[in-house]
Amino acid sequence: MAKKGKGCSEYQQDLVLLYYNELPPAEKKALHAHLTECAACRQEQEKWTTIFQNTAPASLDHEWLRQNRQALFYRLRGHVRPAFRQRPVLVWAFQAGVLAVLLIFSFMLGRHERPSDVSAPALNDLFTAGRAVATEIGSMSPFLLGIKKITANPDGTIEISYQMMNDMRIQGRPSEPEVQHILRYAMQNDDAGVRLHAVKATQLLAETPEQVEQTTVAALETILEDEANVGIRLAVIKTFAVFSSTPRIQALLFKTMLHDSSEAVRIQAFKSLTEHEASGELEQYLNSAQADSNVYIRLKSLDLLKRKELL
Amino acid sequence: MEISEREQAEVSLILRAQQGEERAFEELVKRHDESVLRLALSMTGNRCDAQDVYQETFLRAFAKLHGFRFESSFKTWLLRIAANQSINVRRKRRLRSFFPLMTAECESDNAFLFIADDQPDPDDDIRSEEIGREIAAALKRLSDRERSVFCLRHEQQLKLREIAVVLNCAEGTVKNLLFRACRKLRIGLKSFVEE
Repeated sequence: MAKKGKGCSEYQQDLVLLYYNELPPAEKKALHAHLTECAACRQEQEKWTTIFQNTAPASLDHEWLRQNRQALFYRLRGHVRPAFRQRPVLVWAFQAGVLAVLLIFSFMLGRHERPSDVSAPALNDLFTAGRAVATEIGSMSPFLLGIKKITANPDGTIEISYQMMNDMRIQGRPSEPEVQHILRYAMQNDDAGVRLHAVKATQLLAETPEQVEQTTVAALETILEDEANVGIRLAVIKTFAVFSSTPRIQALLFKTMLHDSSEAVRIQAFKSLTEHEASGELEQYLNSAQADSNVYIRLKSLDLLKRKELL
Repeated sequence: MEISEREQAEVSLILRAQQGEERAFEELVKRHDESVLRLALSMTGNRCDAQDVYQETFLRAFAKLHGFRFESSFKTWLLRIAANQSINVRRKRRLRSFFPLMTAECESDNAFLFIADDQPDPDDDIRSEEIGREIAAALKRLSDRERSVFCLRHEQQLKLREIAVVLNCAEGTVKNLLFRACRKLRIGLKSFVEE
């Protein structure tokens, strides 16, 4: 929609987009209406038109194009490495000289005395809280994450408030509820890499599809709808492809094939949906795919329709 | 949405080329190499670099063809490689400019020319050359990304959303770059426009 109260300077900015026919219809209409009334903007439009018309590219020399094409085909057929451009001997000599100077310089730089080994302090003593903490699985030395406050008390003691952190490791089958729980938690992580690995890990659930918790499917569904990262959405589709083909998953894949903004994700959803050609819904999927903006999806769906004699 | 015969043939050529059929790839080259060479010429500003970009673009495309997944059109994919190659060549050229011995081999020539060729008046020819030089000088003032956007929109006639795919950035960014490029060109060609 055109903004209300646009001034000449704003309209003049739109002139570039008008020339390239990139203005939305409403703004185009508003600009045309303004141009009929404003002589200054009309003059501005003429100036832009003059510039654009006169910066048209020169016609390409077709003989030169043919020569380039021939050289390329020669290289493609022979699989030869790109030939180095011919350079005068003087240039090669100069480059070799610069290289030699750099080599000598770096050699001289490297000739310094190796420092004697310094006995490394006990890092654990420096960075752990020092005192072991008893836990359910035994005692451990927690790592210090940060010191919050140090207070000298009147009784002569020192009080230190600190945060500590320890890496934990859990190992188990993907079918175990604890593992799935942590994977779902990881799917909300700020780090896209962690989210991606969490989704990929769920692909291992294909071995025991009956153990897939509905909450896990719901978490994957949420990712498919909300995740901005295309790679992660692709991983979700691949996960669904290895799960047993339940109506819910089929419906999710179909929805993705119809509405996802990424062509890569739509292609993957299309492949997953049409993988099992015995599916009762195949005709519906293929017909819907015919309306896709991606030529590959349209062509493949048409091929399948013909092959399955559904046309 | 209908599939044109040309699109259908192109997908089939790509699939065959992905299987390693060189003839199919050559057919794809013939379909798109004019666009690639034109872009390379206007991006680099001289024939010498343009032909390097042309060769490198198709050799890279051939090497990476198995990774093409039809997420964009083949032409858009090629132009993305060509634009990146051109930017690399321009960067190298700027570096080479610190070593005067290495820059003599490729003289810059005007990729853009005044197109009033149908007027036989010799004065017009001189004027055309003059304007051609002015345009080349104005284009030199554009940054690599501004130049890419301008060339892709103005010369290759790509829509802004297609340019966004080629340059792997948001459509809004492309719009801003186009504005900036046009404004710089306008300033560079002030004497010509204000006449």
